[in-house]
This record gives sequence, C-alpha cells and structure tokens, in this order.
Amino acid sequence: MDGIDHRPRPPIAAIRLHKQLEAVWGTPPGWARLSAVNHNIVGRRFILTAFVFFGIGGVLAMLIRAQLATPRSAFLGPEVYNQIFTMHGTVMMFLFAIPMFEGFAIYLLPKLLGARDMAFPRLGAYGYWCYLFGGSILVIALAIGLAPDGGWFMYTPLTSKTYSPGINADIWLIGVTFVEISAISAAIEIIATILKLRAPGMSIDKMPLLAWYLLVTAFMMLVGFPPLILGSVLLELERAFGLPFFDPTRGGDALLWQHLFWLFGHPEVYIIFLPAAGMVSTMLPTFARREIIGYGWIVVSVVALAFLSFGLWVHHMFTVGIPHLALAFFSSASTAVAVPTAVQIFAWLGTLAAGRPQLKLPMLYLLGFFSVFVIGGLTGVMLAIVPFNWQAHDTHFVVAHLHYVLVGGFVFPILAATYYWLPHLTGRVPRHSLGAPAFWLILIGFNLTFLVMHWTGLLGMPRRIASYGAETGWEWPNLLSSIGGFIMAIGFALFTVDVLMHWRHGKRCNRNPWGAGTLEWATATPPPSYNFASLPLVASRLPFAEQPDLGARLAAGAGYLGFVRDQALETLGVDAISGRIEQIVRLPNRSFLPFVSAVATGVFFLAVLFKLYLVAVGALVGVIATLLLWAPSSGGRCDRGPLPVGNGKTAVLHSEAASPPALWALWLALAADATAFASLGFGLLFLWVVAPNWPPPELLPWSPWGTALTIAGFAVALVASYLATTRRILARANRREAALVFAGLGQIGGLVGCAVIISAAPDPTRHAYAAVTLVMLLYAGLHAAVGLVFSGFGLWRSRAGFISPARSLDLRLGAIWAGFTAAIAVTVVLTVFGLPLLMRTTS
Amino acid sequence: MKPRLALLLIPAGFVIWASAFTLLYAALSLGCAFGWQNDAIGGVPPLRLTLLAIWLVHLAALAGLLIYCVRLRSAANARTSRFLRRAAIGSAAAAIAATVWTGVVILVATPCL
Ligand code: HEM
Ligand SMILES: [Cu+2]
Repeated sequence: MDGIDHRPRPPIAAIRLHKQLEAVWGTPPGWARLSAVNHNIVGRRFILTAFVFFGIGGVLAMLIRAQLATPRSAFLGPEVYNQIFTMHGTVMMFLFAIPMFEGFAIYLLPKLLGARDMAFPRLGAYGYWCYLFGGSILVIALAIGLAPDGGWFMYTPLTSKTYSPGINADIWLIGVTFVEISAISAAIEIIATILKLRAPGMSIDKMPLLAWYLLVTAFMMLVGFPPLILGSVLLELERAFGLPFFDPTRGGDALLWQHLFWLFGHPEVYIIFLPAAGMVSTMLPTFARREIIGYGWIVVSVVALAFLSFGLWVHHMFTVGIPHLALAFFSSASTAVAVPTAVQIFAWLGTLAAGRPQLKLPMLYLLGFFSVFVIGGLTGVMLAIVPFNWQAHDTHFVVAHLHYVLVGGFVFPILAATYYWLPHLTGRVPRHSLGAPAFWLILIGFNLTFLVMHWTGLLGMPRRIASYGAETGWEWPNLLSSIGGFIMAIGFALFTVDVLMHWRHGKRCNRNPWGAGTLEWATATPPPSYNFASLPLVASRLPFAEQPDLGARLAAGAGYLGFVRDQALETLGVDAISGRIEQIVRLPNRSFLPFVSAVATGVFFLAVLFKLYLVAVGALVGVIATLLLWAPSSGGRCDRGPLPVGNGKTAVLHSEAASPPALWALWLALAADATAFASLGFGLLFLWVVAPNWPPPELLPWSPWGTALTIAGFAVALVASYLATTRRILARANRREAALVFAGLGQIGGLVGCAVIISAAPDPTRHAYAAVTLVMLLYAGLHAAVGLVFSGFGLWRSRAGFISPARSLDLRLGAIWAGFTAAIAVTVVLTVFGLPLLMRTTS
Repeated sequence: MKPRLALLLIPAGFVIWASAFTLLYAALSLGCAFGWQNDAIGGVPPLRLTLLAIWLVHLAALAGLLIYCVRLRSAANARTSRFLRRAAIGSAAAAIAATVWTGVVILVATPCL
C-alpha cells in the first residue's frame, strides 16, 4: 500500500547486499584514505578538525585571560597580545564555528534526508582540504610570530600597507579567503542536497526542521561571504599593487572596508547560530517526547531571521558618524530581529511544557544553551539602542555580549549535539558520570568569566588592550573573570576526556538509543559508507512513528535502489517540492583529484602571499586543469532511458534529467557571483557619495572600438552557446561543435574588448575611481575567460561522446554561464561609461 | 498554483522588505550627499518625499503580495500546498510588520543630521 515491499527477507540477502554496496561505496584504509569523498568521512574530518581549532582558540583565550588577570601584567607584550586576540577571534569564527556546522551538516544531512551521500562528494572533499590548508597557514603564522594583529575585523587603515607593513595582514586576507572558498562550496552543496537528494515522498513540508535551518543558513552564506571575499581581494590589491580603495588621500575611504566586512560580519553571527538552533529543534522534541510545536512558524521565523540579519550590519558602526535617520533604520532592524528569535524560543519552551521531558545528558547542555543565550539576546537588544551603544562601544561589555551569544548560541548546542549524535558514530551511549560535572564547570566558569565582564565594561574598560593600571578599579573583576575562564577550561578538558572515554568504554546500544523520530537513526550505528542499503519512502515528518522497524527493513533491501547497478554509486533525486521521484543521481567515487586541486589552490594562495605572481598564474592554470579532470567520470556516453529503481518504479539518470543537481549548483554559484558584483557596485556608489577627493582628476575616455568589440563578443558568445543547446543544433555533432567554436571566439572578442578599454583607462594607483573601474573591467574579462573554458569544455565533452539531445547538461551549463557573463558585461560597460557622464553633469 | 512558485513565495515578502531597506538607505545617502533636504516642495523637503514614496510603494507591494497569497488555491498535493500557502501568508505578514517598523522613523526623524 505504501509502495514498499513488506515481505520478510532472509538476513543472508541483507548481508550479501551490504557486501556489494560496500564494495562500490567504501574507502580502503591506508594512503587511500586521502582519496575519500564519502560524506561520512569528510563530515567527521570537518568535525574533528574544527574541534582541534576550538582547542587552539581556547588556549589563546586562556592566554588572553592570563594576561588580563592582573594589572600591568608583563606576561605577553602588546605585540604578541594583538596577535593573540586577533587569532582567537579569527580561529573561533572562521576555523571553528563555520566548519563545525559544515561538518555536522555534511555528516548528518544525507541521513536526515534519506540519501546515500551529499550531492557533490568531491566538492565536499575539496572544501575540506581548502579549510585544512587555509587554517594551517594561519596557525603556522601564529607559531612563527607572523600572525595578523589588526583584530578579527581587520579595520582599514590600520591594516593598510602604511600601518601594517609586514605580511601579517596578507596572511589573514589570504588564509580567510581560502577558508571562505570552502564555505561557499559547502553552501552550494548543502542547498543542492536539501532540494534534490531526499527520500521519495519527503515533500518540502515533511523535511526535518534541521534541513530547513541548514537550507536557509546555506543561502545566507551564499550572499554573506561574497562581500567579505570581495573586500579581502580589494584590500589585498591595495596592499600588493597600491590600488587605493581604502585610502582617503586618493579617493578611497577606510569606512568602505567596515561596510563590506559587516555586511558579512553580522549575518555571520546568524550563520553560526541558525544551524545550532536547528540542532536544538531536532534534539529537543526527542527529549520532550513529543513532536515540535509550530513547525510552520519556525520555518517562517528562520526565513525572517535570515533577511533581517542582513539589514543591521551598521549596528557595528553606530559610532563612526552616520546620519541619524540611517542609524534609526539599522537600530529598528536590530531590535526587530529579536522577534523571530523569540518565536523559536517559545516554540521550544512550549514543546517542553507540552511534552514529558527527560533530563538526559544532552538535555542538560540544552538547558545551558537556553539560559546563556537568552541573556546574550537581551544585552544584544540593549546594544541595538543607539545611545546605549555609544556608551558601551568597544568596551568589555560588548565582549561579554558577544560571548553570551556565541557560546550560548553555538558552543552549548554543539556540546549537546556531540553527546546526542555520538552514539551514531560509536554505537555506544554516553553516561552521566563525567559529562554532568563537565557541564557544571563550563556553565559556572562561563558565567563567572563573562557576567563579570559586563561590569568591567560598564566601568569603562576598553576591549583589545594588553594591560591596564591598578588605579582603574578594573583589577578585581578581571581577576574574577580570569578565574572563571580557567574553571571553564577545566570543564572543557573534562568534556574531552569524557568523549574519549566514551569512545573506548561507553555502553553498547542498538540503533536509535534516544527514541528519536528522524531518519538518521535508521542507519546502522556506526553507519556503513552508503548509509541505507535501500532508500525509504517517507510519509510523515517522523518516519519512525509509523514504522519502528524501518531500519531493519531498509537494511534488508525492501526500499528503493536496494541493489548495485553497473558498479555505480546511486541515490535518488526528487522534485524539490513534492518529493516525487525524478532521477537517479550517480555520484563519483573516491578520487585523489580533490586533494590535488586543493594543493594547487594552496600553491596559488601561497604564491600570492609571497608575491610570486608567475607561480600564482601557473597554479591557477593547475587548479582549472585539475578541476576539469574531475569531469570524465561524470555523465554517460549513451542514452539509457528510464531505469528501474525498485518497487516497480523507474527514473532516468541525472545526466538525462531535466534538472540535475549540477544545474542548481551553477545557479547558486551565480547567485554568489552576482552578490560579489553587487558589492563592488555598492563600493563604487559608496565612494562616489561619501569618500573625500571626488570627483577624480581623470575619467575613463569613451572607447568606441573597445565597447563595440566587448558587446559584440559577448553577444556572439551568448547566442552561440544558447543555440548549441537547441534541439536542431544539438542533435548534430558538427553543428553543435561549430556553435561552441563561435561561442569561444565570442568570449575571446569580449576579452580583447575589455583589454582595449583598460588600455586607455587612467592610472589605477592614483585614484579609487580608476581602481574600481579597472576591477570592474577585469571582472567582466575574468568571466569571459571562464566562458572560454566552458566552451572548450563543451567541445571536449561533445567529441568524447558525452553529449546527445538527451544528455545536454554540459552545454546548458555553458549557455547559462554565457548569459550571466553577457549580463555582467553590459552592466560593466554601462557603469564605467555612464558614471563619468553622470559626474560631468552633477559637478 | 505552480508548486515551484509557491516555494519562492515564502521569501518573497522579505525580498520586498530588503528592497525597501536598501533603497531607503541608498536614497538617504544620495539625498544627503547631493542636498535634497535643502529645498522644499509644499513645505516638505524632497528627500523626505522620496523616502516616503519608497516606503509606501513597498508597503503597497507587500499588501498586494499578502492578498495574492491569501487567494491562492491548493493544487494536487493538498497538504504540501496548504503548508506552502500558510508559510507564505505568515512571512508576507511578518514582512509587512518589519517594513512598517523599520520605516516609521521617516515620519519623525530629521534626515542628514
Ligand atoms: C572558550 C572560552 C572563551 C574565552 C575565555 C574567551 C575570551 C575572550 C576575551 C577575553 C576576548 C577579548 C580580547 C580583547 O578584547 O582583548 C575575546 C574576544 C573574542 N572572542 Fe572569545 N573567548 C572564548 C570563546 C569564544 C568563542 C567560542 C568564540 C566564537 C565562536 C569567540 C569569539 C571571539 C571574538 C570574535 C572576539 C573578538 C576578537 C577581537 O576583538 O578581535 N570566543 N574572547
Ligand atoms: Cu551584529
């Protein structure tokens, strides 16, 4: 009746199926581990590495507290202290919080959704290596005393060449950009997985709440990180080549950095909080022993939070001199954000009140989360009020607030989540013995450290000072804070010991030890590399409620795809809304290529760091080449048509499907791209309106030939790439290949056009106007170059037999890229030639 | 209703909010830089008129969106489309509240101070 075969099967069949699946999905031990792309392995690596970085960040925090414990302390000099607090903030935000959530997402999502892996396993592996290499660059720099020291928000002009001459600031810019690439690729992968790779029947309203939270968070990353990446690139261009974006003497403005940074920086806080809140929404109903209250309300409030949190970046800049009315906009947005947060808190409390809560160990940490996070939220509303903000700005009150939010809103939920999902990884249940004392030490230590810090802040102690005098009246609160910090550290140490002991000595348990309702507990614990021997049909939000024996039945192969076909890794793709079966997604197998690509990427960044630009160009070519080498193993060389997926259903392969995950990925990448471009536009507008020394001394001269060539080139590329995907041309190899050649020629034309315009442009080192103009033209040119790669790739795929009217994905991707590139190019041409016209008429 | 469209309706209200917010901030900055607060049209500086216009147009768009969502009919998969419709109504209403709340200061505050 539910389309699933209910006949009992002999266990021998289950074991045989397991062996067959493991043979294709598994990763062998030894050096071959480096080739792992399986989400179980990649997710665990992310989590473990993030915990290591948390430890490093924690040690740095202890050093900070040791330094501040007594007045006039000579423990660390100001130079070292500056590096330490900068690295503490940087490590915690970029190397702990974001990757930790990525790790949980990568590990859990396919299981929550009833899939066998993430949509782009190699991308996940690549992202992990980028994270590891980028993070290592930062940590090594710290070890050799070259760490960035301008604070984690790197304010210009402090971090401009004049005031930070060494390579410290470059290390931050490059290390963080490296890590952000990994974050954006994770975001794309998370969205595509949630929207496409779900179990059949899991319509969008039956998704576990955690999937909703992660979906929204990933979208936030897609539009939140590009402004920071753009800002970092601009600052690096200023530092390396003297293009003056942030230098007020040459038409730049130091405040532009702050805008770009906080445009990312505030949403970042929610990017950290929302996944944790999603975990709370997953764990809490299990311990309350009832379904969560207000599923729909929570979804709406998460969406609201995502948007509102972008509209309040200026609350970090209340004291920089912005018109009052603008302050009022940002202040009201900042207070508004409390409302959707409160909706979720009431949903959680309501669920607890209506259920029969059990105080298991993870629940204890959840209670810690509630109490700490709510206080942080309240001080946040205080800080959103402009007059109070002017008083407390950059004092330890702010440091206290941010830790209540971050530790309350992220660390406590992560500790709870670790205990909650630990049985999934180890097949053992945690006990109260050490976990509970660890909790109390952390909670008491935390409050002692940071509650007191509110008081220190109100007494006027600024943040980021290495020492203070004995007559200030700050010595007692600081000593108390430091003692609290060390109590907390003991708590964390105990937590670590407990987790390690659990690994070895925990009590063995069956699957689903907490009695949860979500699908991740339907796998064996620890899970096999393919998660599910066959995929479930989902009919409700809590699949275990109707089918307590679900796990055993899936293991016996009673669901979909309970077999191995063509030695391929297969999982199901569904319609994003209804959860109807749409395609069979074939996933790539283990491969060293992601590792190699990441190494090439690392060489690129290091070369930029040491200003070896020829090496950098070579490495970039290497990155592109190795990324292209990923391709041959995806797609098919002949049309297969619909294939059986079990239980009497059929579906086509993703290479023949109308909307395969890769198509979604391209659209998402373009969304991130467009955001970076829009941030550049914002930067130009901002400088024009606000920066001193405008209008510029020299404007871009009108270039009819350059413009004509640019526009014509991009138009040809667009039309040819599009034609290559139309039925009549696609069907014949020679026609479509001719179209692709034209597309490539068009991109070359556009590239040359951009170069012609640039050749006449004013000197970019003299004024920010010329610098932004140059970057805009380069932006268009870069897109043309990638377009060229796309058409060459299409040609290669066509020659190699991957293209047919049914298998047109590669060409469709190229056509979408060409369209986007043309749109960018038109916007660039209008802007770079339109702005001079405007400036002539207004001045 | 096309189901894919319905999913986009959930963020639609807040997209309008974001547009209102961005345009208000941009218009305020441009207006202050180019002196739109110094003239007066019928006693009101053109800058404030611009801001009011931006605000009201967006509120009207939101009202339209809300009405559209309320009138939506369920498609084949009743449970899913009921959920989508309710969520769209909820977020459109929340976006209206947010837009009123962020914009209401235009009526009282002096721009460019
Ligand atoms: C584990 C216990 C922690 C302690 C004892 C601690 C302590 C501190 C202290 C004392 C400062 C102020 C440094 C100064 O102004 O001179 C600070 C700054 C900061 N902390 Fe923590 N922290 C902890 C955990 C975290 C976590 C978990 C996060 C984020 C997820 C975090 C993020 C930050 C950030 C972003 C700053 C600002 C750094 C800067 O001003 O550049 N901290 N921390
Ligand atoms: Cu903020």
